[in-house]
Amino acid sequence: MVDRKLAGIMAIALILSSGGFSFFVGEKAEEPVEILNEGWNIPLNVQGNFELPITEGRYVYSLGFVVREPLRRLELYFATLENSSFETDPDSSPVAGLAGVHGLGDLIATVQKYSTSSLARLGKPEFNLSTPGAEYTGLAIDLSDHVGPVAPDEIRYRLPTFHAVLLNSSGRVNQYYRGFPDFYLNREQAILDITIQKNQNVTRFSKRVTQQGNSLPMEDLPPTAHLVFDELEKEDQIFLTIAIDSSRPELSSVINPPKEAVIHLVLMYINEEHQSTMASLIYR
Amino acid sequence: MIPVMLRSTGLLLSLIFCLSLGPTIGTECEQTSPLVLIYCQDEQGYGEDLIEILRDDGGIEAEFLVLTDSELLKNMIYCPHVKLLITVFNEAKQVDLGEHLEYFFRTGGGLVGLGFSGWRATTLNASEKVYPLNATSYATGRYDREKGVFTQDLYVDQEHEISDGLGNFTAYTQKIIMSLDRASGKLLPVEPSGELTVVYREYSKNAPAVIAYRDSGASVTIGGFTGNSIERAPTHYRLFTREEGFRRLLTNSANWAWKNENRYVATLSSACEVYQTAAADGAEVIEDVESEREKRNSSALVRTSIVLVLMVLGIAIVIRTCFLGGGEKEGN
Repeated sequence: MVDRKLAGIMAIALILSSGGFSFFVGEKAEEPVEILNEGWNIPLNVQGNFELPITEGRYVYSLGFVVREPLRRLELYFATLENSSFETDPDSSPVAGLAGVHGLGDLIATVQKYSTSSLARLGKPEFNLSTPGAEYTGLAIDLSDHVGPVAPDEIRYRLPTFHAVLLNSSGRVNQYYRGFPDFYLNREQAILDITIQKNQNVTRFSKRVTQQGNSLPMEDLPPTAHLVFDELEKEDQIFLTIAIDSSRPELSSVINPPKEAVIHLVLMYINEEHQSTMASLIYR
Repeated sequence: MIPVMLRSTGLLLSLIFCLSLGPTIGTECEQTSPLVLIYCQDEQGYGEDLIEILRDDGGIEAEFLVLTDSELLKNMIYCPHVKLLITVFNEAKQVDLGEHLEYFFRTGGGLVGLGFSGWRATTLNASEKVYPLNATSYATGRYDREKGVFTQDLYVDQEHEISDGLGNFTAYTQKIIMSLDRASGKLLPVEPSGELTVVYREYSKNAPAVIAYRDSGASVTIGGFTGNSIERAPTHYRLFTREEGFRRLLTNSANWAWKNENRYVATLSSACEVYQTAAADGAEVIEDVESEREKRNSSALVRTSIVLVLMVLGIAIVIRTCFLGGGEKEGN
């Protein structure tokens, strides 16, 4: 008799725990994508920052992630911005060199008045940037959709439509960056190759197209650094690499002479919503 | 966290405010006010004075934006809402804007250029195709000690809306730029492809000083009025922005360019179409996602119901078997 009741209690406990597991654990939401790797293989300088050597060398940005739930659309936007304000010393005065940012504030306020759905992308532009010396919060502002319908293609991709301000830990504007929505600065010269892989399907763009025909010429690269993946399935894997040659001159059409630091940004949007922004600060 | 951090920076507060409006901004693309864009090289205050003059006149109903940074101007020239672009180049240095001004004019835009806008080395081809002065030289005016300003006498060459209510007048400007052959000292002819009217000439050199020009777009080139914000300097912009002759010249020029531009309606209409297509595409994605989410939610509800029913049934069976059923047997 005692054994039967004990067995009954254990059976009920088992049923309840199985049901509970099903409710509380089985339904737990996962992140829609899991980042497997992200970053540059650029060597660090003595301060611990990425610094591109001036000698010839191949340096690669890589991003890999696995999809954890079916996604209607995943988009990646790339941008490379040059320091356009003042020195990159984190302790520098937030007042110096802010004239450009002042103009930017007015510009955004005006654009916002005219904004249409294409500018909804401004809705969540924050990112974090960690360097050995300081932690920053950044605001990324992309106006490329805004000028897109009007500017001719040959001009559009040379417009510095991407902006970012960095705020230091006390919330003060510390630096202002601007640049282009592109995989890296001066793509014709600096980028050696770009590989985009979805599961087993690999597309490779290279400066050196081999006769085997396994690479496309760089000219075939989309003019905008905007990658769209539609109808992704659970467990789909995406890998991307951007290889640059550090010795190639990075001629800046924004600032002359070119400034010493760039921010490389990758913005991820899932189903039209901003998911995350990955930022790297690179010294040159 | 971010809004708290920005509290100390008024500018960025407004920036954050603007950003926060993002998702709710309307879709009435074609009903918005036109924009007058003012590029005033390195002198924000000068640009703001121009806005004040145009607002006081009331002939132009628009939003106004002053930019002093040429890179930011490049962003805004292509904004579909720009109906009038006013450029003030205060220095004779080259600025990488010529091709953008050309494009704006070629697509029908209205422009008013002051200072070195028609200076060859500053705006390159735009100094012929947009602001057809093609200037390489300048004449310096007389210094009026009493008023502390430089002056140049301008007389009407061809009657035009721009000279209405103004007539011959003395301009408070240090320089008038002109196209001059240094060897012969003669003025070089400008040969534009469109309809050019020399509205004013400078008296001593007989050089074109104000030109109205129509081709694809409409422009007014005013070959003077460079300014700076150095107080007590005879070139301070406020010496002429408060002076009636300049104010009338500016408003007449802006009103004429505003009326004769051909860009605004066409550009805005086609841009709105692109925006709407993009918006529809985005809405379709969101709709698909919502529909998929609803499907998932209903299947989750079914699954939950089944689990609940199975749990209740299981517990009932256990109770019957282990507790109630066992008791009956014991009683027998």
